[in-house]
This record gives sequence, structure tokens and C-alpha cells, in this order.
Amino acid sequence: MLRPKPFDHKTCFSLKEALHLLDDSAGGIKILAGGTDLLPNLKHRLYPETGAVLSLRNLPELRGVETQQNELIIGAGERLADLSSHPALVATLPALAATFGTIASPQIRNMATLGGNLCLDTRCRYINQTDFWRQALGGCLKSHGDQCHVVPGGKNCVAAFSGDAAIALIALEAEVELLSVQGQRRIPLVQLYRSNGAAHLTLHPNELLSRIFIPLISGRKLAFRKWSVRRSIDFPLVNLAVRMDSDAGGNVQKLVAVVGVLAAKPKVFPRLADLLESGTLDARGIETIADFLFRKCAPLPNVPYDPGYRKEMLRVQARRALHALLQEDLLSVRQD
Amino acid sequence: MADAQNTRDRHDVVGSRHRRVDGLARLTGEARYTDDIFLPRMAIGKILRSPHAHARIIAIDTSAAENLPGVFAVITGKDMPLPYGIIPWTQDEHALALEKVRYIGDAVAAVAAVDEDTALQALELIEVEYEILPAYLTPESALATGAVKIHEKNKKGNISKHVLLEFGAVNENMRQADLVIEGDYFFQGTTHAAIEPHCAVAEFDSAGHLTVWSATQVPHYLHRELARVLGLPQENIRVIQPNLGGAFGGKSEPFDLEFCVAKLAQKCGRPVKILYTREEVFYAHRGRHPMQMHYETGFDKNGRILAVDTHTILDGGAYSSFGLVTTYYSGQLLTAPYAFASYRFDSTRVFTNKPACGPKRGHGSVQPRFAIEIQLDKAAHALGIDPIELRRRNALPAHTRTVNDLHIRSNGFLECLDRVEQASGWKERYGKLPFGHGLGVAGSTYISGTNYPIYPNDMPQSGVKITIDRSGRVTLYSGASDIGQGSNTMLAVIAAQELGLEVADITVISADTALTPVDLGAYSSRITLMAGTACLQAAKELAAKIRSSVAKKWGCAPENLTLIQHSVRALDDPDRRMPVIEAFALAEAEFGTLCTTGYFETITEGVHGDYRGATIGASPAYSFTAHVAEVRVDAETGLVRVEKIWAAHDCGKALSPVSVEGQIEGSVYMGAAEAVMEEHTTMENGLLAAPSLLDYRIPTALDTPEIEAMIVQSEDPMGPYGAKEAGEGPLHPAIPAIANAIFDAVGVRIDMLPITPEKILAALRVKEAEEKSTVRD
Repeated sequence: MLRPKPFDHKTCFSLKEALHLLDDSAGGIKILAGGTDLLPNLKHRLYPETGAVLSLRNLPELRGVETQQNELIIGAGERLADLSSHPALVATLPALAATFGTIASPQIRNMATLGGNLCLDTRCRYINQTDFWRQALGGCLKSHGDQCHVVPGGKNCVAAFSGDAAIALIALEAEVELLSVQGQRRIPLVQLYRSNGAAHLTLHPNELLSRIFIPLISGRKLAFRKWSVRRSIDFPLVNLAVRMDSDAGGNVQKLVAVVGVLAAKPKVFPRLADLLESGTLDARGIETIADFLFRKCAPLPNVPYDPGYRKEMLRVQARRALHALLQEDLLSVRQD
Repeated sequence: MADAQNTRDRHDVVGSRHRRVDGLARLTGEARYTDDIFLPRMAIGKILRSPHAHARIIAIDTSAAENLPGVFAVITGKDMPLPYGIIPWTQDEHALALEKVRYIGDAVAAVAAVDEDTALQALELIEVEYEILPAYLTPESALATGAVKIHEKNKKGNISKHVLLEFGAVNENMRQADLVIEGDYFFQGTTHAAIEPHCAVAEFDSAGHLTVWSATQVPHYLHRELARVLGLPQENIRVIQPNLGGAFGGKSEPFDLEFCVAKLAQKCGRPVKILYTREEVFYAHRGRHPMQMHYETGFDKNGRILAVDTHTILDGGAYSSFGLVTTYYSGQLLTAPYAFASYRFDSTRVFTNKPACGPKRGHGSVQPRFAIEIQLDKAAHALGIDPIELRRRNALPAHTRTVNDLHIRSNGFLECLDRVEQASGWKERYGKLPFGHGLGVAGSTYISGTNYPIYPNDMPQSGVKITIDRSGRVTLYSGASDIGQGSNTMLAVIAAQELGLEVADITVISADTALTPVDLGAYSSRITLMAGTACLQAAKELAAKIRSSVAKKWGCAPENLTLIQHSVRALDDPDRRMPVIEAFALAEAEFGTLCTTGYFETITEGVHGDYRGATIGASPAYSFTAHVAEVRVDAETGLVRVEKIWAAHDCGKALSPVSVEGQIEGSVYMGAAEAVMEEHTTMENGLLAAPSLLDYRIPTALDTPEIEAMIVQSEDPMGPYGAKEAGEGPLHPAIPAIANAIFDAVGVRIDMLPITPEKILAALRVKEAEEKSTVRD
């Protein structure tokens, strides 16, 4: 078994205490929720500066699902397994619940939290390896080195954000609450990310992601699709969500696509409705949009599998997601 | 008499659906594996590995590591300068690199420390100065003119082994053939991915005697190599193989950690344990050789095979391992179940700067099987003959000799074909399913043990000792390694059958060189036939003693008695019975302490031909298998879903049908995984692309096809009760059957493994373009 570098394990019994600990540690502490991303990364020794982890285990403030004024509010500490079958979620946003149910594997969903999935670190074939492996490679932009192996000569880390939940939630215009000792701020989820794979979160080192707000809008539909080699466990190699808002007459008001696993920041296409000549989502419109996304997205060899094939898959999955929007029952589905 | 015989059959242990002897312990977590061993004062060892694919070691400075508090010992190649290797003629490995490192992950130094963290810290303090040499990651580059020799003492550049054998008039037959199919195939490297990583613990006692516990498949060979490399008398070494968490060929030779724990324990005067990380398991490898195979096959118009001509390049990796045997197997094991009128194979194994390849389940013969079974499918289509029918026309009979002079006795291949044809609805469905949905067939054969020991000797290959204590409990001692395949259960079944007991009445002590008679190990699917025969002999001798004592008391003939259901009974009077424990006591009183032995000796007559290399590939008995695979292909994405595999396997006689079915299912799973998913590959600099079980993908339950395992029993005269192997043969046909089913589904051939969606998509596009241009013409 791989050993992480020895670290301290800190627990706290109130949100306030947690925020103070974060504030005092000046970035040398990592937040431990489910641990399904953090612990493998610590074993790979990806965070040499980390001397401690802060466990969120005893913070009931981070749990709970409630509906308030056309908004669904989810505590960041809710576990993915619970959310995927949560009655409030299944009733109001079945496609989102189903999306949560496709993440990783049952065992991982039993531990992993929604907040943790949104803060998932970026991934790359050249980073998510052991310390020995990375040293044999000679390091990279994200790991004690100065060269990029994905984009030779590149100066910006293009490690890929590989979360699934964020893709669906950004499509739904979700917002997140970030807490610190200085106070709280609420930002659109999409603004949590920036395009630097080595530091892809805009979350400050002393901040904690506490709640997720999802607007509930009638006439809104969501479809999420992903492709991974295996039907369980694997990180996605292609994922995308499409959301459509229609008026009572069935005319498309807004059509949005969000694409993940390209680089550090999910890619948002907010005005796809403009591409629909007929104003409704028909077979021709689906092809047009799928082709548009195919042209606009360029998968890189940052995660396994041939980028050219992943680009092809993106078109197919976009087509299938858009077709799913036309159906009554919206379930997010995987690879076939 | 007939009634008694019926009772006998009904209560046969052989062939019944019983529990495994270790089933409950493994399920409950009670079973102890090597890593569960904790000894007082035990130190933890770690191995420093090379970050370079090919380099000369200029200097190693271990002083800082030695001075780190908590470090007990540091060793380097100089501590164990003798080379070792599983094949006596190609010993080219060192426990720790002596002058050169030959792949990323090659062992350079080892430390023993108070705990793992300290050991890891010590590794960071070891300074190694390297002179980098060019790294050869493909056979082509390793064979190029001017390439540096990976092994300086090797005579032929970077060629590890070359075999060219010809049987019959290949060129002439090929010229006369009505149809010649020519194809290039590539089998990607794959690894075993046993869930238990390699682990070893060593302890010296005050008399200087060494005990090594190791997760090995070959305690006997390890015993010999430890003695040689450490320079210790063999009689002062004891090797114990605890419960094993899977092996599949990946633990069938000595590894660096086994020598390192012993040397470190000797040096620091404490027991030492080393457990590989998963990454180290990938470096240790010994998985399937990548093979480039050029095949030419000539057929007459009725589909009969006139000539087979093959050229194969094996990418061997950095060391010889079993490579000499693999190179022979890549050709020798192709000659059944089909009759070849003539055959030539030309196989070359090449050293490259990658983890060494070796034996993985179906050693050396899974790759050529992939090629030939697709060749047959192509011929069936070209000739308009049903692929199963084409295979029937070429099937060898029972009791025959192959073109390369292997002696086949029992042969249930035709029944295997019948079974999968019927179960899969082949006649009604093959070639008639809608686009995207297809069926494919393939057949195969495999050995039930390699005929000869790895080091030449005239002693038995397997011995078994059976004792009975006064409680009636039977203890069986065997050197054979239960690696999860169930060999301990197999031995208990045989003893229970012969002694009128149940499986649970038998305690099996196995794979402990101090307690058990020698068995050569768990490789080449040899244990059921060889250890099973030894066990049957010992059990029969014991049963004869017991019958004789009871016969004397009852005044009847011993032949008139049978041991069944915990009693001795008279065949002609079912009411006349004696509890078996009384019978045991009678026998002990008459013969003294009850203990018998049995052994399996090498069969020297008629097994193989008389030419150089004839012995490699020869076996006392051959198993046969046929599969039909059903697939669905999404033509838009290229994704293949293997829906179902029907697998019929001729194991001679199923001693434990549940175990045989388990072996068939496990084999099919592993083959299907190699067909569509697994790749053990390196990146440009020689680093493994996927040294973890997240990136090296083996199927989850959701990715596994439905499997229908069917047992065919041809009862071989050489096996105990007619039994042959079941652990490796059933893997072979899965891969070509899937490839052939994909052709039936969407009309494209994928001859390069693994069959990934992008390959299918690319082939479909080429086909589409061709069809369009045909229409235009």
C-alpha cells in the first residue's frame, strides 16, 4: 500500500471552529470530507506542503436538503449515495439525482460528499501517479517541474477537471456558498473554477464550501451523459450536461451545454438556442448543436484515451443528451 | 451388489457439489495471508527502484541511509551477486541490480527499518549515480543495428530466444492450397492483476536456519534459488506459502523481494517483511508478452487446413523469465484441436527495456490462439462454410498425434462445439442477427501440466503423504500451491472419496517445504493431474490397508468391501457395516501408524516426438474448449458490449464441478477483459502508462458478460478419475470468439488487441468509404 507523508488529523465540532482552523493554517491544511479524492492524492504525495487535514465529520451544519422559495438547498457534506436517492431531489430534479448516482462507484458514493465532488482536484495522466513515477518523469507544471507533457512548451497546466456533479449543476445555474471567518459569499458555481490546472479553484485557502443552491424553474429540463471505459469506478473521459428552458408553447427559450474533462474549467455554451432555426429542438437542430460542440471542444491527451476519439464521443453524447431532452422521463445515462 | 453400487455413486464425493476446504475462512476474513504475518521485532523492508529504463550504475552511496535513526540494514547488488532465473539456462536477473538497470522499476537497493515511513525516508537518502543508456521500448528498436545489448553476456544482440520448427511440406502444401489466408495480428501486453500484491517475510532462528513466507506459486523453486543466491545450505531453509490472494502466473518465479527480505533479515538480525505496492506489482509484471504475429494458412476448398506458416515476434521485456518456454509455446501449442497437414513456426523473443514478460494464465498460447481462430473465421467466410462446421471438419480425433508429434489421448472437442452451438442457438441465429448484433465461435486446447520439471531430474514431480489420527481425522500433506484455484480442495476430494469420508474430514497441509513432499508448483495447469494422481495413489494404498484389516476381521475378501459415508460396508450385504473410525483403529493395530505416500513420476514414453524442442509443449493430457460469444456493437460510438459467452470445457472429469465452473467463469472473464479492455503499455520514456488498478482497467461486475459454463467429461486415461486441467484452457477462445462476433455484428475485422471503440469506429469508417467507392465504380 502507498504511504502518505505523515500528517496531522484535526477535528472540530462547530463550523466556526473549522473556519478558524482554516484561517490559522495559512493553506497548510486540506479539508477532509469523504476522503475519496484527498486520500489517494495524499498517498501520491501531490501536496508536499500539506501538514494536516481538517475533518468535517462532526459538522451537522453541512448536512441537509431543503426547498426554499423555488430553490433547492443542499448541504455540501451530503453524501452522493444519499443524494442520488433523496426523495426531494428525485421529485424535483430526477436527472440530477441520477447524475449523482453515476459518479464513481457505490462504495465511493457512500463516502464522497457533494462538496468534495465540486472541489475535486484536477486530473492528468502525468500527475495522478506516485511520487516515484513523477520523479522518473522529471516532474511537470503541477508537480515539482516546469514542463508540460500534455502540451509541449505549454506554460499553463491543462490538467482536467473530472467532476460529474459540477457539470450538471452549472447547467442548472447552481450557486455555492463559501464561508470564512471574514464572512460569507455566494457565487455562481461556474465561477468556482478557473483555467489553471495547478490551482483550479477560486476558493480561498481559508474558505469552506458550505451549501449548494439550485433554482427550481418550471419548464426546465436537464440531461447528463458521460463516457468512461468501465461502467463503474472510472473517472469520466467525456461528460456533458444540456439544459433546456421552454415556454408553455414548447418554444425553446434557452438551451445551455456544459462540457467537462477538457481542461481545468468546465466549458459553458450558454446560447445554443440561437442555433435552432425552427425555435424548437428538432432532429436538425440536434445535429447542428452536436456539430457545433464537436467543433468548439478540443480534448487533450491529459487524461487516458485517444483525444480524437474523445472528441468524436463528445458529438455522439451531445446528440444523445439532446435527444433525451425530448423525452418525458429524464434519466442521466452512461455509455449506451 | 447393484444396490450397493448405486449407493456408492450417489455418495461419491468426486463430482459432487461440495464446499471448498478454505471457502469459509476466506469469506469470513479468517484466512491468513502473507501480509497478515507479524513477528516480534519485525522490521519493514523497502526497495529502491530505478527511475531509468536503461542505465549503468556508476556508484551507490548508502551512507546517509545507514545513518538514519531507525534504519537496521541497507543492501545493494553486491550483497547478492549471483544471478538467478526460473529457467536454469537463462539466469539473468539479480535480486538487486549489479551493474545495470534494465527497466524503470528495476531494483537497486533495499533497506530494513523500524517502520515503513522510516524505510521510505531511507530510500530517499540513497544516492545512485547512473550513466544513461539508450532505452529500447520496441522489439524493432532493440534489434536495430548498433543497438546496445541489454544483456552484455547475451550472444545474439538483443534476441532472447529464437525457435524455428517445421513439420511437413509447408511450402508445397501452401502452393497447392485452394485458399490462402494471410493476416497480421497484434496481441497487446496484459498483466495478471491478482488482488494480493507480492509479499514476503523472512526470519533467521538462532541456529541460522532461515524461514521465508512468501506469496509464491512455486515454493520448491524458490527454495532452491534462495539457497543458491544466499549461499546457504538448502536444508537450512524452509519456504512456506500462506494463503494466496490470486496469482494467475504472476507469482511463478522468484522475485527480488524474496531475496531481499532474507538478506536483510540476515544482516539486521530481525525478521523482515516486504509488501509490494500495487505499482511494484506492475513493475514485477511477468504478464502476457505482446506478440506481433504474421499468419499464413492454406486451405483446400472443403476448408481443410493444409498448411500453417507463422512468424512471431515476442516483446520480452528486460529479462528472460520463462521466455525460453514462452517462445516454444507460441508455436508448439497451436497444433490442436485442429489437424494441420503441415506446420512451420518461426518465433523470436526480443529483450526490451520494459518490465519482464512471462507466464500469464494460458502461457504463450493465448496470443497465437487469437490469430489462428480469426484465420479460421476468415477462411469460413471466404469458403462459405459455417465457422463451426469448418472447425468440425478440421477437428483432431481422440487418441492421435498432432503434426508436431504431441500425443493426444482423450478429446472432447467435438462435444464442446456441439454444446456451445446448441446453447447459443447458433444454427438459428448466426449470420441472421440485425446489424450491430453478432455471434462468434472459437476453440482451443491446453496442457494439463508440462511433461518435464523445469530443472532436469528423475525424481517425482509431485508427492503426497496421508496420515490418519485416532480421532478419524485425515491429514494430507502436499507441496502443491493452492493459489485460489482450489487445489487443496481437489486433494481433499480425492482422499475423501477413497476413504469414505467427507471433504470437511480432511485437513490439507500444503506448500511448506519442511512439512510437505515436493511438488513443483502451480504452473502449466499441472496440479490436478500430477498432485491428484499422487494423492489418489496414497489414498488407495491407505484404503487398501483399511479394507484388508476389516476383511480379516469379517472373514471376507477385501475386494468385497467399500469405504463410504463414514463406514466400511460389504458390497454384497449393504446392512453389514463398520464405522470408519473403528476400521481405522483395526488397520493401525495391524499395520502400525497409518501413513501412506503417493507420487507422480514423469511419463517418459510416447508423450512427444524426438526432435530438439519436442519436449516443450508436451503434456500427459490436453484439455479442450469451445466458446460462442454474443456481442452488441454500437456503430455510432464503436463501443462493444459482450453480452454473453457460452463456454464448454473438456476437463476430462470434474472432481469438483463448482470449482471447474468457477475456473471456466474466471477464465472467460479474464479473456473477455483482454479482448476489449486491458493494456499493459509504456509511455515514450519507458514509464508504465497505467501502473495502478484505476488506470489499468479490468472489468467491473457491470462490464462482465453473462457466462454459461458447461462441463464436458472425456475421461483421460492419464488423469485421476480421468481429470484434466480446467484453470487455463477456458480462457483462450474468449478473445477470438469476441473478435469473430464483432465481425458478424458489423462486418469489420479488428486484428489488433485490445479491441477498443476507436479501432472499431475507424474500421467502420474505412468500410463505409470502401462501400461508397464500390457504388461509384
